Amino acid sequence: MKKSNALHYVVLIVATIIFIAPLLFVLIYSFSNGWMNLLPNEFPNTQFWHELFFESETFWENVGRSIILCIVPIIISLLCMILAMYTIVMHFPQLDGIVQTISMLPYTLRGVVLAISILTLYAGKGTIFSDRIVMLFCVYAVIILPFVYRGLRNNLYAINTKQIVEAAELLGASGLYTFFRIIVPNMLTGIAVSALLSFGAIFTDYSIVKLIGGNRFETAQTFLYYQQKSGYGPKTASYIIMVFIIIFSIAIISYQLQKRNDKDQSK
Amino acid sequence: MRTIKKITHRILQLAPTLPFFILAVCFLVLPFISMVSRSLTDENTGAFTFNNYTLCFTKNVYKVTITNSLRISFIATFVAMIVAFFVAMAIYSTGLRTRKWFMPVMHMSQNFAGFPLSFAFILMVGKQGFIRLSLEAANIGILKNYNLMTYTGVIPVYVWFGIPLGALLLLPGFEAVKNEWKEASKLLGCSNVGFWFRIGIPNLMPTLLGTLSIVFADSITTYTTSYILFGGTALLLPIKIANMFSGDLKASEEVGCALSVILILIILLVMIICNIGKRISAKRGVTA
Repeated sequence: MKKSNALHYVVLIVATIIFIAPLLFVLIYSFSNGWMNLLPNEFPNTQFWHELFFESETFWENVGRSIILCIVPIIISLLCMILAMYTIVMHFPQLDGIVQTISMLPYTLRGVVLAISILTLYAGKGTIFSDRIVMLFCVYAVIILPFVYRGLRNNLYAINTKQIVEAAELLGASGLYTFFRIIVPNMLTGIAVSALLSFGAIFTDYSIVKLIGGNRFETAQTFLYYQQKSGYGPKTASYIIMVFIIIFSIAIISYQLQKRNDKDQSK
Repeated sequence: MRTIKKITHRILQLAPTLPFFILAVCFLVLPFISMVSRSLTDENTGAFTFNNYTLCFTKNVYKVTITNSLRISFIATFVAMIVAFFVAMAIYSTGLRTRKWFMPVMHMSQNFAGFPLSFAFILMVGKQGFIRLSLEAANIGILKNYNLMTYTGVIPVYVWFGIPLGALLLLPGFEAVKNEWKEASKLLGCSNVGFWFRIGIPNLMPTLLGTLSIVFADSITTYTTSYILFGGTALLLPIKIANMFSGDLKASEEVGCALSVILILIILLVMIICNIGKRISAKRGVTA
């Protein structure tokens, strides 16, 4: 038993090194001035980080645009899903299967394919969906359906929605009052987890924004693309690390929330 | 009269689900139907035809694109699954404390995919990669024939992002393998390896197959990572499809639709095979 455990530790340590190494190298590279030998040149060199924070307005503008591009679809998706799931839990439990099937479709109809099919259907037709921004918002709202569905569904069932609403009705609360004052506050963690997971998915996307937005809409990812196109220097590395830090901090918050949520539900 | 009232009441109750269904129909169902129907129409005459599909399987460019994607994804998925299996087993066997430091590593590497990952690989083992140059300076020739920017050289990158995804999805399956089973089999004289082959893996089969189909789908639809390595002219399904709609050389969109449908069918096929496998392993009565 002891011996096999030692083997397991070796596996984990090797795996950790393999997974940390690329990230660590990029981080070290961003603090250097080139890396052609065993050791990087002029380490540590904070010049590129200084530029990133104080001289690169376009980068921060793009990050801002990325954030807007994340928030609007998340709101659309959450609103649609909350209304639908609430109605279903309350009145039409038999429809749950349909909503689940639809919500899992983006797993098969992934990024590029979905973007292409929407583009060929609506582009240049002059409808409201032909507007590239509307299209982008709606594509993202659909792409994140799996996260939103899973987060909200678990939560709605975990808080015994039906009993709560019935109890509130007995006590004389109106439907809307119950919904906004009791149901929604109880779902906040579920909403937050879905939103943060979706945020990560949209923020890291490049293929859809490239296909639908073309060159018109620049996000943090398109910025990274042009940076890499112009060269593989340490400057590019600093931008990559910065974007990664943003994504990873969002991810950490969502994992923590999720853990707390799971604990609450198992109580 | 009362039934009419009842029906209108039911319909009114259903109204809040409308936004969801409108979104789903307009941005999932309709685009999919239009894509399938377009892949079956002739570019010039608009008549019904299977030509776009025959073209995908006969014209060399498309044939190479499909085989490239399949080869990379199958090999990468297979290797990633084997490594992920041992990683998940190690996490499961070493208990909670290792999980605490290893899970963040997994999540971190999952979020590192895309541009950062390709950048890191270029930095390490690309043409001017520091590991390659250091090895060359020390006269060690293991990377001499390795080229990251080929359809074989890129496989390690695909394996790299397949492992954390696979390990994270496999873990719940490992948790279902009870320690009591291990102890009981040991008492009956079964070795550790024998336990995994006869009891552990058969019980894990459903999880393994489910994970495999997800890792495969993830790898065959990967766009960003390979886009930076190969550029827009890469002969890989997602890039080729995207390029047929937005590239400078406007290719036939109908054939692009056919390629997209083929990509979806490949993913579905792998999923279905995995599901059949799941059912067979469940029928054999190994799941308690």
